[in-house]
Amino acid sequence: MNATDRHQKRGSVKRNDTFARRVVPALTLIGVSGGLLAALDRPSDGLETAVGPPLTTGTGATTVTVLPTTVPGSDPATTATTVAGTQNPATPTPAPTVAPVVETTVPPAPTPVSCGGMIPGPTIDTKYGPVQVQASVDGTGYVCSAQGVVWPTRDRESVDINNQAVPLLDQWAAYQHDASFSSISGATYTSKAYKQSLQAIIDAARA
Amino acid sequence: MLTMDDITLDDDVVSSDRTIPAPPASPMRRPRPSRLTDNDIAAALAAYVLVITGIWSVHGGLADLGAGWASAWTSITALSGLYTSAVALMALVLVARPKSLERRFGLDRMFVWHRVLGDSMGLLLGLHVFAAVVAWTADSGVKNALIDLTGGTPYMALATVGAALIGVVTITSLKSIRQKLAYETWYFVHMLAYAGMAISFGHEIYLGSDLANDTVARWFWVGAHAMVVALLIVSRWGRTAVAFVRPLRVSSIRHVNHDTVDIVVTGRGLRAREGDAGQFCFVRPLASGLWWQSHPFSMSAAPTVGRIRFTIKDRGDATRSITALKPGTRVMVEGPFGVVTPDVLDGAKALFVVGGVGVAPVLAMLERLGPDHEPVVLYRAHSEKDLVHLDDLRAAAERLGGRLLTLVGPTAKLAVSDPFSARVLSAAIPDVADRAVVMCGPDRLLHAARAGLRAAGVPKSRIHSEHSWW
Repeated sequence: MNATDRHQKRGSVKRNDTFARRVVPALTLIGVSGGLLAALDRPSDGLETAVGPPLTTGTGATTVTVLPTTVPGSDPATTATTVAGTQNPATPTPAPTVAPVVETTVPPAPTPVSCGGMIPGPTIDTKYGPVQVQASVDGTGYVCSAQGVVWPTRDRESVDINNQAVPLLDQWAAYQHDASFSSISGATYTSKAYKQSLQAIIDAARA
Repeated sequence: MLTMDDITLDDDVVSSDRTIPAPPASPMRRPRPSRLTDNDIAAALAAYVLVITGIWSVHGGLADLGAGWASAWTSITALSGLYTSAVALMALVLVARPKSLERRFGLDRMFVWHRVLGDSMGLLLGLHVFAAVVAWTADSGVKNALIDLTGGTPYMALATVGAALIGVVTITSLKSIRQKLAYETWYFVHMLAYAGMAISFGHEIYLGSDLANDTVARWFWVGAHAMVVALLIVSRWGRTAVAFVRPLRVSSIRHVNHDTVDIVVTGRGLRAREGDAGQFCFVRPLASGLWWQSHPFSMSAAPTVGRIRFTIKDRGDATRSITALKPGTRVMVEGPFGVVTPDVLDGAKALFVVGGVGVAPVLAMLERLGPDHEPVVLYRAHSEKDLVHLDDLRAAAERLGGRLLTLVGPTAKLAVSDPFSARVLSAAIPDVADRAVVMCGPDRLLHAARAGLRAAGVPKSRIHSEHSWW
């Protein structure tokens, strides 16, 4: 009703106001947000994991057995980025020759590791059901490979989730060579139990 | 008999007065009342709350609350996250100004609700972020939790920046800070809420386990967001786009006293609109220095399919440039909006309490009243020269068997200390308690008059005004 009075309340809009002056704070915020985003956005797991985890070898001619050559102490972040980049099927540039990228990220003299056979870990109970892992580790607790053997299958939802999550966890374990990887989102309980079971194997191997 | 001379003479008069001749006045189609009932709204809200709480509960949210410290906080994270977005969607529905809601409640109340929903969303977001940090700390320690939550996990960098943007928007909308900012500064920052919501959407679908693992819930969630975006496009941005594509033009501008002008805008775009006396429009002149500001102004004549008239007072700010517009200038006009029209009188005798340039909607409403209303207009102004359209007002009131009372002078110099006390009102208008009252003016006048009228026996349901909402 008192529409012009409303306007009075809207802050002092002075005649010398310009659009530029009023829009600067918002634009500044957009700039800061963009910078913050660029600084923060470095997912260490998850998306790449969900799409195609770093364990499996590359596609086609780029096939390089990447991960077994990684050793403890090498920077997993660097390797992960590179691997994700080279084997992403969506990458439009085909690499007809053997990709040299991996060689640059892998230390020249990998320490030889000797892993034994698969050792079963303890069964961990979650509220959805038990989880058990078997893994081959060396004497220092270095994980060569791991495999979920028991996981919750009580209902269809559990089956669906774990059919996706357990292979990812296997790959993460073999990629990271320990049990310190992040949980798979959407399968937190299985992930935690998986890591707990794997950690028990590692601890036993070290002892 | 019409001669050539008559026509020529007529054309001369028109062209000297306005650049665009006004089409014949046939009243604008009145807005159809909203068919929305209280039951509809209650049912929709109940269903909405039920579905969202249900999504959380069927995935074990309720059970997790009692399943230990970490589970409980994870569950709280999920629920507060769902409700942050749910509340934000409701706030956006209000922003879209759907006609069904606007005609029932009026924009002023909708803006108040928008503010309440916005504040609630800010609090829920704070809880969501806090609960997420606590839950992830329980899983992997503070350091890892912070790394994971601010970008270590996909979509979380976006969500973090989104939350920061929503935080800035919420803080700048706090009354104390909001008042220190120029309206447009605040407005442009406020627009970032759209960006904040958009970039936060990914983590809801990807990490929100209620949505990530449940196809039905996920489609409900995506569908709800898509519907709100569609509503915004059709109802809000669409109307702005139409106002831009088919702008009206200033056809005449005339000073009615030293600082107040009548601006008449015309255009073919008016034919499709619905409006009534007493309503207001958002006006954005497409002129240099003004195109980026939109201000609400009351219509001071009942709108017709050919023209809308505004009466605008120069307040020494942006309205001054509006009073200096040239005929022919293109103007984006959105609206009319507003729920205080002659219909609120419901056939009762009418009293208008007017302060200053609040006279505009009363001029328009008087055009639509009949003799049954016997309108009394109580017109308060600081000085004689601030009274505008006085003769029009008196003529309109007396034509309908009513009268015009003026109350002029600085508050301190008035003969009575409180001109809006029940005693004064009853003495001046003996049948005041039987009347329906419409008030238009500054907030202080509204408050004083409301108190006096209530004391004089006017029921609350018969006192009508639209409040300033910002």
